Parts: sequence; structure tokens; C-alpha cells
Amino acid sequence: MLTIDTGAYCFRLESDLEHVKKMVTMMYGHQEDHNQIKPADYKIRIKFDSFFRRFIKPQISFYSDCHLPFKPMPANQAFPVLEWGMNWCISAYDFNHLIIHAAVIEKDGQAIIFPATPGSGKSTLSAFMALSGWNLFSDEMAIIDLNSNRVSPLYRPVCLKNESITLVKEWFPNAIFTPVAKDTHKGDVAHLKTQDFSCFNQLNKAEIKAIVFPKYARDQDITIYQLNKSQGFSQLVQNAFNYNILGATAFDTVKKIIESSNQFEIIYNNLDDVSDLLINDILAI
Amino acid sequence: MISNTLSYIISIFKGNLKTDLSINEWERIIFILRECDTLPMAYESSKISGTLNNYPEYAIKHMHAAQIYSKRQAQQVRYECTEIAKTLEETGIQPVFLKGAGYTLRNSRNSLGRIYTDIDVLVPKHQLNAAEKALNRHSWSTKRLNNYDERYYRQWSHEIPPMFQIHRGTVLDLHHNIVPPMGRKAKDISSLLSQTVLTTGGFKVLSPEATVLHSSAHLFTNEDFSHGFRDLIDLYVLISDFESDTFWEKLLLLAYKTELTLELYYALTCCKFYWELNIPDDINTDLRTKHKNILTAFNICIFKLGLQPHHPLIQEKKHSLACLLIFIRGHWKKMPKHLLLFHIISKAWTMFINQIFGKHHFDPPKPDLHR
Repeated sequence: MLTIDTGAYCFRLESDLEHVKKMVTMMYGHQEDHNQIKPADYKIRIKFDSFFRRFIKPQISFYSDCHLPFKPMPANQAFPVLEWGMNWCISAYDFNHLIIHAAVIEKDGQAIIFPATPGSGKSTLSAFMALSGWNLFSDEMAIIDLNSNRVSPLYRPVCLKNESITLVKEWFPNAIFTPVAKDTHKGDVAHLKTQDFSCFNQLNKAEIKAIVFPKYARDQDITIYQLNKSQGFSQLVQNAFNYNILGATAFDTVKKIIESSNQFEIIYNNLDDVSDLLINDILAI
Repeated sequence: MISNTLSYIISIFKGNLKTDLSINEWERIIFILRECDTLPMAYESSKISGTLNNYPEYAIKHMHAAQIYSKRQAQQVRYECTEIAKTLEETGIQPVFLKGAGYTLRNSRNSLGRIYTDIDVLVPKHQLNAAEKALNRHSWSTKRLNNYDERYYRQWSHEIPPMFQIHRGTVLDLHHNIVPPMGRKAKDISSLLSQTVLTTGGFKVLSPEATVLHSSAHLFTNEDFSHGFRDLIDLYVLISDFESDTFWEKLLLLAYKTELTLELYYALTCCKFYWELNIPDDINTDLRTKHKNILTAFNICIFKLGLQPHHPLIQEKKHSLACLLIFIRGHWKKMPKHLLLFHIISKAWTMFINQIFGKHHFDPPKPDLHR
């Protein structure tokens, strides 16, 4: 049994696949020692689908304790399936937080949220920022305390897809990547470790300073627009996983975030420019 | 027979849990409660009994999250029932809301924190077609099944294939009887259907006695006990709440009238075993005299095992065997034997194929891992 401590959520993993255990150790490190006493929030399993499918076109299933949220997948996708399964557990069971489909980065106790609008390149952006002096809270979900504007850090690898894998490898040749899982439903996928657990442990919940909607445009220099509050509100709601379950509490929380933060759209073709802009023009406001 | 962890879980619902449990014990409790859909019910009953605040933060956190989800479901159930009642009443049909939806509409204590998979609605058999058509007109569609399952429902079952609301995804089971019409009990049970009351919101639900008998009949004629633990909590809480001088008397009378005394005997015996439910002596004696014998004693033994939460942290080999026996018994009681044989062959073939090729082998390829 392996323990995966992601900070806000602790998972207990059971798997008969050696390569899954190897990748978990690679991405999360050896965590057994320091969290023996910490109770797990979710029990998860990655198992071969049937005796025959261990040998013929190997196929695995992700289990959240006893039940199967997804259909079985080819065995070479086991680690990405595990990561997506963990995301599933969080969004299926945690209704104590507002959860937004977004990347979150932080500096000096101030967080910036990048909602997952299509074409935003949020994973590439997360990987770049995490390895260029920002603290990465998540490349996938913003975990926000209800009736507050505080977001929690999560200890997870970044999920990179297709061309961005090559791109990030070029930028950071020494970074730790899992092998590429080919032909998943999101294309080719690799995971990237961006920080050590000891560094992660220093991070605290942070105030949300801004919501930024990034857009990549090859031929356009960096441009920034301020959005009005109602645009920001509706964009944030559209990306919330559990807005409809939380109802009025979610409305109040989003309202609080929008009122206490600024919302921008950024068009960019270079991530260094984005980092400078965030530091000089957004965090400094 | 009852493990430590299970005895703690039972105490949660009885409101007398001693609170010096280790955090690992709490982890087991939370996992088991979550898998058998009773985590929010545990929150609500702990809140009512005042024990919640003594639990560790870990347990409260998970129970609370689950409770938010169940509250949202209850709100949705009320909305859907209003819509369904409106739709059917336009065609002159007044539906009776059964099981979970019925509990929520009558606001009984067991509805607090209850999780639903579907809404169960009963209409008279001669109005079944009209009801289905009326619902179709209001965006309720029927799930596509394979030919065998479709025929099973239409010819042999007490309900039509599940319907779903195409915009909201809610699932509706439209019944014309309480148990399958092929079984021996079908006629006797029909008289339960006339035992209805109106809730304060104007919805038709079964009377308290009929509710208890229906829940008992449903549980102890079922071949699938995967929600058995939750269903037994329902029975225990319903009986504890309905209890009065006249309730027991009326309950026994209706059980005789509908020939459900055996199911009531099973229900009361299991409630007494797990929850130490107080049953008046005369009722107890009456049912025991009528039904206590070797066969029922054996059945009670497998029911007690099958009713435990279905989770590897609790279940041993004997539980799986009990569930298998319950599965066989349920089908044996439900269907005429030639149909049963056909049914078993058909289902066994599907299981065999799944074993070889893995589940979902013939499903269209559509990985839907993440939104």
C-alpha cells in the first residue's frame, strides 16, 4: 500500500502494477515515513481488468475504493489514469470547498488563478512558472475555502500534453518527467515533477490576487485587458466543478473572490513576458 | 458475527458511539460509510443525537461534505417530484411516490442525508401506457437496453425500463406493481397500493404501515443486497419514528391482509438484531408462532450476513456466500422456474464474456475520463 499525500487530500493506493508504483515514487517521492498517522481521505486502486487482460492487450481499471468511475484503459496509460482518478475523487467527494478547473500559481502569499478556458495553455504555463520561481499550487484545480478568497496548495505533478512535452523538455532539460503515455483520450501525456515535498510543506493557503484568462497568439506581443466584474464572474462559474452542488454558498464565494480580486485577459507569445507582467503589473497593484 | 468496526458504525446510527476510537478506525468507518452511501445519513443522525462534535475533525469533514451533496439531491428530488406529479395529473393520473422519494416528500427522519439513485413512482397498471406517454411528452425518455433486458422489463417485471429526463439526467422508475407480477405475492400485495396518505405538500405516499411493509417486502424479496445496510437503517428509523399504540396494531393487521407477515417477521428480527429495536411482545409472539422454523432461521442467518455493509474491510468469505444465496433465493422467488433458467443462462453468458474480455468489451469506445 502506497500513501500519496497531496497536502489537502491524502490517498491510499493499492496496485499490482510495478510501473505505477515506480512512477508514484518518482513523482511524489517516498512519503510513507512522515504520514503513517495521517488518515487517508480516499482509497484508490489500479488493477488489471481481468485475468486474461493482464496478458492479452493489457487493460487496467481505476477503482475509487470499491467502484469504477471510468471504463478500463490500456495498461500503458496507468499513471495518467491514476492522476485523473485522483482528480475525480476530489471533485466527486469534496463539497467543503469551491473547486474550479484552473491552474494556480503563487508568490509572496498572493495567488493568481488561470481558469481552464480552451487554448489557454494552462498546463504549459503552470510548468513554466513552477520552474521559473513561482510556487505552483495546482495545474488542474483551485481548491478554495468557502466564503473566503483563500486557495490551498496541492502537491501534484503537472500533466503535459502533446507538443508542450517537447517544449518544456527543451526549456528545462534537467526536469523530472514520467515516460510519455501515447494515444490517451487527451493525446500523448507526460507528467512533470515541479517541486520537492519538503518545499511544498512550506507553502500556506494564499489570498487570490487576480483571475487571469491567458490566450496564446503566436504573432502578438504581450497585451493585457482588464475584464469587468460580470465577465469575470460568469467565466469563473463556468469553470467551477461543483457550483451546482454548493448552490448559494458557491455564489457567495465566487462573489467574494470577484469583489476582492482583479480580472484580466492576457494575450501572449512568450511566457517570460507573462511572468514579468504578473510580477510588475498584477502583484504590485 | 459483528466486527468491531461494524459495531461502531451501528452505534453511530444509534447515537451512542464511544469516542475514543483511533484515527485508523475512523478511516475504516469513513470508507465503509462512503461506499454504502450512508455517509450523509451518519452526519445527520450524529447531529440529531449530539455526538457529531465529539468526532475527530477528519470524520466531521467527510461527513459534512457528503451531507452537502445529499441536501442538493433532496432539493432536486422535490423539484422533480413536483414536475412528475404535474405532468401525470394533467392526464388524470395521481402517482404514488415510493421509497426514497416518498421518504423525502413526507420528510421522515430517514430521508435526512439519504442518497438516491432514482425516483420511484407507482401508477395503476391500466394507466401505465398513458403515464409513459405523458412523461415522454415532457422530455422523459427511456434508456436503450439490449433486447433481452427490454423484454425482461416489459413482460416479466413490475416496472418499465428506467426513464431519464433528457435535460437534467434524473432517473425515474415507473412501477405498476410493488413486486414482479410473475411472483406468487403479486396479487396480495396490490392492496397495499390503496393505503395512501397525502403529505403536507400534497403528494401521495404510502401510509406509515404500508411504507414499512413495502420497504420490508422490497428488501426481503430482493436478490441484490448491495444497499441492504442502508435499507435496514431506513426500516429501523421509520419504525422508531412511526411507533405509537395504534401503529403496531395496524401494521400487523395490514401485514395479514397483504400476506406480508413473513417479510415483516424478517424485517423486525433483523432490526432487533442490529439496532436492538423494541418490538411489543404480542406482535413478536404472533409473528414467531407463525413463522419460526428451520427454514426461516436459516434465511435470517443469511440475511444478517448479507445486510452488513458490502465492503472488503468488513466482508469475509461467508458474506459473499450469503450474498450468493440471497441472489439465488431472490430470483427463485421472483420468477417461474422455466423463465429463471432462461434468465440465468442469458446473464451467465454475459458474465462469461466479461470475464474473458474484460468489462465493457462491447461498449462503443468513448473514454470520458475528465470533463
